[in-house]
Amino acid sequence: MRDDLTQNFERPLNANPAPSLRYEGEDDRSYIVSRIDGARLTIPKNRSVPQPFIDNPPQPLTPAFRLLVAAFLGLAPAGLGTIVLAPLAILWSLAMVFTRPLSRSDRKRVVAVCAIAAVMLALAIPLSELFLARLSS
Amino acid sequence: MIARALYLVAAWFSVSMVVTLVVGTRLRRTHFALSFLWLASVLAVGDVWALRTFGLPPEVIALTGLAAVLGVGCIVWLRDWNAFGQVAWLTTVIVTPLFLVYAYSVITAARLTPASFLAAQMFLFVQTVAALVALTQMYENLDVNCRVRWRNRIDRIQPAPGFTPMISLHLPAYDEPPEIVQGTLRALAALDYPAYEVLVIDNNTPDEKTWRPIEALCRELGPRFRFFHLEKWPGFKSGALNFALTQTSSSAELIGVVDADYRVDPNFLREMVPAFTDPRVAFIQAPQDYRDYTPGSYSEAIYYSYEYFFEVPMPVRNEHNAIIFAGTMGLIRKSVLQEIGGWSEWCITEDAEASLRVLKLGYKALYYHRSLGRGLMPCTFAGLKRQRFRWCFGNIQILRKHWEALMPWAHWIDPQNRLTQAQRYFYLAGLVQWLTDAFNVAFLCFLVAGGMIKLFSSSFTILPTTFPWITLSFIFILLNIWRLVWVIRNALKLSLGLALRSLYGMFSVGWVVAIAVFRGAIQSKTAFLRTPKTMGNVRVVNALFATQWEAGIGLLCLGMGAAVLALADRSPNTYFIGGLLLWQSTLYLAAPAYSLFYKACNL
Repeated sequence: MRDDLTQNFERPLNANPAPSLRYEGEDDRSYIVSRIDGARLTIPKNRSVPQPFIDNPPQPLTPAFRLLVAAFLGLAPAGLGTIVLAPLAILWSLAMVFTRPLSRSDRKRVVAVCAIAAVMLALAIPLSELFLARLSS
Repeated sequence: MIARALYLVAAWFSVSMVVTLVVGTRLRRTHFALSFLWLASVLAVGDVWALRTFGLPPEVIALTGLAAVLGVGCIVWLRDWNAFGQVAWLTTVIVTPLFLVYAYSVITAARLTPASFLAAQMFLFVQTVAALVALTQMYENLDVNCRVRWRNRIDRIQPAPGFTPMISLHLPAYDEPPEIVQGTLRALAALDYPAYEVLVIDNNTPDEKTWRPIEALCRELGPRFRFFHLEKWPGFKSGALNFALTQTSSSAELIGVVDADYRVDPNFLREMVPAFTDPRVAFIQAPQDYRDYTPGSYSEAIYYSYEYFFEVPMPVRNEHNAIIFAGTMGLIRKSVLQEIGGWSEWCITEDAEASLRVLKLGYKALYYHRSLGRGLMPCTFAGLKRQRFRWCFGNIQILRKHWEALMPWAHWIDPQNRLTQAQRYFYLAGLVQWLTDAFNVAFLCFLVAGGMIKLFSSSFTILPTTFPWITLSFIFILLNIWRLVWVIRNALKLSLGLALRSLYGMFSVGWVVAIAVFRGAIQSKTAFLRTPKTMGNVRVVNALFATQWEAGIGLLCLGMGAAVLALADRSPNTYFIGGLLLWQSTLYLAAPAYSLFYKACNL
């Protein structure tokens, strides 16, 4: 990539003796460029302070929230998915309480996960009972 | 019992909605007594009808009492709305859950096979979530048309003599036609404001011939204009804007973002800057407007579908300090932008994402309801689809990243989150409204399955449709379309024909929005799709090729709808499914029609 960059940049730069911004080099973290007045600038490649979306470090309760979303979608097939996934979300979040030191916010998240999962279970149980009754009749 | 209750509530709903849609915008005052009188009239009409039809069962008395109590609450809570809006909202809020409860009771009471029961439950699930989203749209529509007192609306900002902070205007450009950017720069050079600079950041433009003329013009326009060309620069538009932040004059207090195709009015800065005399104001946004449409053409219809956002959701959200920063035609305080760490490069709608982070810090945002610049709409329908894909995908990215900050319990979990309940609601509602088109695709799948069953088998049932279910669904769909036309006509001041064409302009991009929703649900990143500003090759074949999926789905619906109506049994169910399939075909076939006839960039 560096060769490509140099090649692509050198050509226009050489053609014009006063480019607006001159490529000087780069390392894994930064681009080094010089301005028309000769000042050198180091520009970080990742200039976004919030972590990029894909590289977000997983939070302790991220799997529990994913299970919760899946449990919500599990309401669609007569609550059958919720019956399985909501207890898993509760178990996962409770397991975090006992196995890891959680921050105050994460402990509140555990409460939120358990409460939402319980509400979803309350909705899913009658739905799946009706389905099972039809299955057995 | 539930059926009777539903009939009664549906009667209230129909009366209040029809009257609201006919005369709802004419009443320009609000008074408790007037609202209560209208509430009592609507309830009385429904009750008299119910009394004649069912006698006086206990559910009628109970529901009337409940509606009266809730109605008084609605009148007090929505005191800035007129009586029609207040009662229409009340009846909508009552009829929606009751309809869902009725549908649930029908499914559970019917003798369905396990497979049919499962299918019916899936339908009910989609219907429930879609109904919640539809309620948010209904609230927005009633708010904009029935509100008689705007508390935060700004049509003029009080000038602040002597207040002229330095402004850095950032103009990101990627492979933009030089003649268009030159027009933008000359308009910026003519700004009537003493202290500003313009940073043009041309990132990743492959052909030197494209950016050199822009660089030359920047030199010609003087030291106020600075040009940067960046090769292989990461982060798309946000990457360029973040680079501009590093080059911004240290004396600049405000940052403005202007897209490469925007012609700003000379008083753009002079009019908007006085808003920043209030230190709590972090950003101000003016409407995005367009200049390249021809009256009477398809591009005019699309123009008004763009305007919808700045005439309906934005004014409503402005009442609750919950607007978005839409990028171009906005000014943001530099210190706030630095405080949030600049533009997010993972998000392809970095402007809307940044505004959420700003509001989380407790700042104030203003929507200035006056057009101060006009840009270009995408030249072709394919370009329009690309732009809509980007907007939707970016919003799904925001939803995935920030959903927790928008939950009702967010402040309890994160005390740093200073979003009010109203801000959380409006942001969440704005984000989930993008799901509407995905729900439409889900409903279409059920409809097609229903059509197939009608044509090929009579033993399997997806949904046990009863007469009340069909009748009420039909009424809801009809009133829903009427409401959309009503809000477009009144908010944008359009004729019926143009309002309908604009509405179909919105429907025509439904498929690409649905695809963006599905992609956004499983993918966290995508390339930033720049909106082309040149015509390219738009022959008939290309125009149709760009909408091949929509055309295929539309033709399938058309054929199946016609076949169901012609071949299936003569029952209300058949007419309902066949009719809905035909209606769906018009939504999808709108895409090839617009693609063929839409042509913007009429410079």
